[in-house]
Amino acid sequence: MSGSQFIELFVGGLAIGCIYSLIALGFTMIIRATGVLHFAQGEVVMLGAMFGVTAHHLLPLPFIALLVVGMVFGGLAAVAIELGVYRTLRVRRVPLMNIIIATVGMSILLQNTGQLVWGSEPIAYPKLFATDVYSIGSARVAPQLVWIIVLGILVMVLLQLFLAFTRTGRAMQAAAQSPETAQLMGINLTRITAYTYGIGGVLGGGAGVLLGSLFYASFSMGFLPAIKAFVAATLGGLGSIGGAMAGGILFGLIETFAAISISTSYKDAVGMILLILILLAWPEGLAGLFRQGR
Amino acid sequence: MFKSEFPSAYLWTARIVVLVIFIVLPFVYPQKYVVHIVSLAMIFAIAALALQLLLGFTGLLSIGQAAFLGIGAYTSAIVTATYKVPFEIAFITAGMLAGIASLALVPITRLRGVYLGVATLGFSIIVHLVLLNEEWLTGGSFGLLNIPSPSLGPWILKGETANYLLCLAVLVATFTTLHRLLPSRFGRALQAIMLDEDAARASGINVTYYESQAFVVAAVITGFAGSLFAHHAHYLNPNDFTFWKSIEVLLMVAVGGIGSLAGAIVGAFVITLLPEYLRVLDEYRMVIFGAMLIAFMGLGHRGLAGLSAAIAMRLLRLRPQSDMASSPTPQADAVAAPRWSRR
Amino acid sequence: MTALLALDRLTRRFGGVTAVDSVSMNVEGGEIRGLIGPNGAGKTTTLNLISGLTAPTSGRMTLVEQDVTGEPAHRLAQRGVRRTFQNLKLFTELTVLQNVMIGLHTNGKSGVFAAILATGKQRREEEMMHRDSLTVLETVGLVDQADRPASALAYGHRRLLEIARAIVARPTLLLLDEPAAGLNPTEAEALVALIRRINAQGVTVVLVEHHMDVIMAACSRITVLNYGQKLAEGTPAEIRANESVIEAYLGRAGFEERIVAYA
Repeated sequence: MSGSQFIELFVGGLAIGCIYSLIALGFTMIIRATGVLHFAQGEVVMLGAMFGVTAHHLLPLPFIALLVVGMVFGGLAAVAIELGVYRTLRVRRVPLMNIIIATVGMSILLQNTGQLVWGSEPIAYPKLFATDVYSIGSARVAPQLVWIIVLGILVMVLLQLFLAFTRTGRAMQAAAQSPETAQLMGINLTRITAYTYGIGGVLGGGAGVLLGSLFYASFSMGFLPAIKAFVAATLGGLGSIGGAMAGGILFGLIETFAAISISTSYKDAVGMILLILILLAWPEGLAGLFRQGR
Repeated sequence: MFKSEFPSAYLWTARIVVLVIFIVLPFVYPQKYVVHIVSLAMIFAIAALALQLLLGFTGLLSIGQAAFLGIGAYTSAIVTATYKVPFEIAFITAGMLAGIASLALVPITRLRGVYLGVATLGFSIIVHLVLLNEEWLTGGSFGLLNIPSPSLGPWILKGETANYLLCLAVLVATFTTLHRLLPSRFGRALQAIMLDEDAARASGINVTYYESQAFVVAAVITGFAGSLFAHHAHYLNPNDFTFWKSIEVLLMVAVGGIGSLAGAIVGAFVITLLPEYLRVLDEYRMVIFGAMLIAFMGLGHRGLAGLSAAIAMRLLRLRPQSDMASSPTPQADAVAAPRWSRR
Repeated sequence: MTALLALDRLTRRFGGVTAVDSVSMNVEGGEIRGLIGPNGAGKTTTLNLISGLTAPTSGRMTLVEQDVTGEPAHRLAQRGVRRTFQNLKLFTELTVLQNVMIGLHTNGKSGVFAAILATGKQRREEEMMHRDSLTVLETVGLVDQADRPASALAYGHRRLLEIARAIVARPTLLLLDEPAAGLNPTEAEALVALIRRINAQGVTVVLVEHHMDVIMAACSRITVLNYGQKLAEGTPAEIRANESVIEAYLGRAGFEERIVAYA
């Protein structure tokens, strides 16, 4: 493999990895706070992409604005689902498994609603960049990829800052670690759970716009990336923010490199096999590897 | 596993009535479509029962059952279509191969909760990819055609009705088998593992051994269901065995009621038949289906089986024994509670 | 006389914390050995080590002269080591009878096939387990609740059920982890009598307890742990009089005076 080839693959893998990371972060935050495997996360991604491209059709907006639109609507959608549906179920004290299954139902509902609203045909994201190609040495990479990496990392950094330095962010951390104690401290769990879903939605919606700009937007676009992101989050260790970020990027890189070395048709399997191997060695994922004294 | 509040006599009467209805059905409604779809529901009921053994009675979240459906289906199909092996042997082989394949999951049994689920999901994805890509064996995306009808000895079970009755027989056999397994030493060991693993170990139960056995038994049963599927459809396509199918089987168990054998059957029927009933709604079909799934989840861990039981109790004016009425922590929580922060 | 259970410098570390620090202890067959110490002394971890739920970081453990160091819990249970738990680990959704029958798991052999085929052997085995379980329930006084779900039992009865589950297979060594917790004086007395009766049948007992009356009444010898180390060992009288034991429980001399000052 030549140096330029390597760089091109690396950039590609890193870009898709950033997208997986954003989705994985949503998964991990929700599961950390509530124990729920949010099967509908992929549909939140789809909604972000759809709202983004719809916004562009209404007004010619710069890419950053589309990203913001996707994030905002992704967040709103997620909060609406949580407050409208999941919370209603929790109030009825159904077991956790039921809520998880309900997210599967929500996934079906949203996917098919998406199909009704936006049709079955994939919708192309507009060409967003003047130059066709950036050059890094002799390697040629699409600017799209570079922007995805930059924006993806930016969002992740902002998330870390939010969690560490804002009151709400710290409250979310507290609630995730010990709900009862958090409540005793006066933290409103309903609000915090809504925020958690909201942030998951913001991250997912953003990932949707990035993903859409890379390929296209369609009602079924979210499902497979979400499964992969979920696998990546598990790889990194569910409940670990760093693990989700690392897992997503790792998954993206491995998938991209595997596609050329192993046959393309089995590239999805590589990630799965890697996951199973890692879990066998470290039953709590990579995060368990770094955790001392457990 | 929730003990039914009904006296044994009522339960047995209900079971016999249901069985008679099912036997008579294809003769009362001989439309090919009806018989076909109910057969399919029964095939999935067998797979759902297998998952119930894992999920509802051992506490193992497996989102990979479609892998065993696929292995069983393709094994049975290839062996009969290409090698002209009689159906009975193909059927058994399908189950055995699925069982052997499940041994690959033995090292995974040490995983817990969601992690186990993800690993089994990964397994399902891998098997699907193999089915899709190994065209020389499975025909790949072109599918496998000309799968013969099942046969028993000299009789070929041609036609929907004969096939239906075969599926019914296997379903009844599966239900009876699991019904016998649960109160046995083996069944108790599984339930002990689900309810409190440490206490099970401290009582001398080798958890890894029994969990592996549960996986194998479930895989064999699911393999049998796969075989029935192949000879029912006469055509196989890898898309019938994606991880989404694994999720569907999980939905069946969840909707029917985790921990109830009858519930697994009810759930299978609901998940298989409901989309058909909803066809009248045209493009809103799946949207409504999704909404109904969510609504079903509001029923609590007893699922539809529990709901029907509660209604029947009301109608028959049976008072619930005060002990049994409250089931504090459903085992569904024991399965799904993410122990990702500790082993 | 060689000991039934011999712990030789058994140690268990959890990351930076040494929960059990080079503890050596010989339990003779037929004893009722008390294991006491302040909170955090390592008593439950020691029981976890003996029962195999935790593996030792270093050290050796011998049972009936066989080296069983590091053997998993189910193997030790098969060898006759049974236990109860500090926070009760019943199979709450099963019936009282089923809970006890699981205690007899090791006495049976029937697997999947035997169960499905309902062989004569399997049926006889089930009957035997059924009978023996009912007998034990009678011993602890729970037989009339045999078919109730374990979750429906009152707290004191749950403790008895756990003991029943532990003794039904006639263990060689019975480990009791705070069985008197939450019991009123009458129940605690009944518990001591029960422990004595079990011991009279030939079961060696190791008893972790905070209830000093129970310990002093039931035990022939007592081992005291503090900060994971063995502090003292002796008869109840010796331990009662032991200065370092008193200090371990009550803190440094002058503790009581300070309490009075603040009151």
